[in-house]
Amino acid sequence: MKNKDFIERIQQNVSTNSERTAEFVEMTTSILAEILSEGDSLAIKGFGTFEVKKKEERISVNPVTGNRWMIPPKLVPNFKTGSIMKEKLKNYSGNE
Amino acid sequence: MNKKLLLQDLTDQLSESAKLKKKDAEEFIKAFFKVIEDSLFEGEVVKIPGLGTFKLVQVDSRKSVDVSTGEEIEIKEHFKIAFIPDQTLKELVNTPFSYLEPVQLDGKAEVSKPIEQKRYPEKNLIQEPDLLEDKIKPQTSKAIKYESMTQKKKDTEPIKETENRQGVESKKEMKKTIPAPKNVTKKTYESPKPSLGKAFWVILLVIGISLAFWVLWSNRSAMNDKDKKLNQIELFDTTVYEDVKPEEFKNTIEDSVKIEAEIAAKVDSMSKADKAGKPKAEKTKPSVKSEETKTAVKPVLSSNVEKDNFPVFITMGKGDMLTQLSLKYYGHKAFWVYIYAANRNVIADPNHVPLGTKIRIPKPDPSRINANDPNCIAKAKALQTKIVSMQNK
Repeated sequence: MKNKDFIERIQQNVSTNSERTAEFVEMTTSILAEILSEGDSLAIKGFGTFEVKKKEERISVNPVTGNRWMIPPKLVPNFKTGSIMKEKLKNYSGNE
Repeated sequence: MNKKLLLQDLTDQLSESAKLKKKDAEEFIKAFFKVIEDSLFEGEVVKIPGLGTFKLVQVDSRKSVDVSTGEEIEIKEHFKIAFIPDQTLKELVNTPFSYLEPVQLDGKAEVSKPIEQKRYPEKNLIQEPDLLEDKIKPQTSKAIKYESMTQKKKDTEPIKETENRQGVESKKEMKKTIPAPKNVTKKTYESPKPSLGKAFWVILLVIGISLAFWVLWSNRSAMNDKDKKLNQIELFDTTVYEDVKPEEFKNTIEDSVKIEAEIAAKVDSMSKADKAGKPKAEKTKPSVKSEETKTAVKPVLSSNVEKDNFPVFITMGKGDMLTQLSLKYYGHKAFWVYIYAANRNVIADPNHVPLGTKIRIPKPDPSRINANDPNCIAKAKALQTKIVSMQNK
């Protein structure tokens, strides 16, 4: 689904200020990104939680050359599906 | 940091930055996530720039255990939401660690080494049953076959040599001692080949060589003359400082090969005598014998050969000098040149041998190394001046 379609669909669901929807979408994502970059988590009821996970450093071995690499720790954005959503998914059986 | 924000916080921030009424902002955010959800349930992949991609992924049914009752239950196949963060979001989130980069560590992983070492005993085990089978075949042809095998061996020698490099031993000695390590490597290299004919040849070679060394070991006194000859050649080789001619190598190799062939012949005649005496035990007895010799000879073999050629191995300690070693083992300081000659590949500067250097002290040759003979000492001293002048160049 393209961004244009996405914005259009949001417009259909919103009663006011429909012209500025694209702007709002951009703002929303940037706010979310900011929240995550500060290490906070954001829980949306009925949808899920956006959070940051830390991946520990590890030693990886290249199986071909046998060289060992130290992979540094990193922070990764993560999404956890909410329980209401999980319930919905249980009853969902594909739509192909 | 690590605050848990809710939908409320998001709408607050949005209404602030977009100058929206809180009510409108809330409506918008709810619509935002509702559209994502609806689109997902319609089977679409939702990609939001600056955030990431949401999509539904099917999870197959699997068996599990009820945590409280311990009963087996089946988790039905279902869908889950997969979120793949956008590259820009990833980088933004990872800014605290962005300066870190993968670093290559020293040394190779140890994983590959144990596997390599394992291979050898395993293959030997696999070979064991074949060995018995081959023993049933007529033994008389063995000597001839063995001789042709030694021919083959010569052909493969240059390659094997580089593979068999092991620390202290110089190339010349390598050629002479080569039959010992070679029968191991040869076996392991050839054994994976499925062709029975080749396997038979290899096994014959191994048996032949191990028997040869068994006899060599047990009849050492009888072979003494030949050993001495070998030693002389060896000493001669190492004491000559100019480049050694290739023909000399050949001679020494051929010598050792000849000796082996003779031994093989001897062994064959021995086993034939055995057969004549007890025709019924023919099948079992030789095979048992060969197995015994095989196991018995192998550990002895390497050290044995070394003992014959170069009796003493020494690791240089603190303050150890070649002259002292010479005095200790040969009875005179001047003979250090022969120790140096035998270890030229590990000793760069005879005046300064690094700590921990493993050197070997060759068996003294009475015609060259004799503390009571002034001629020998004079010769050694002449060599010494030659070496010193070479070092100074």
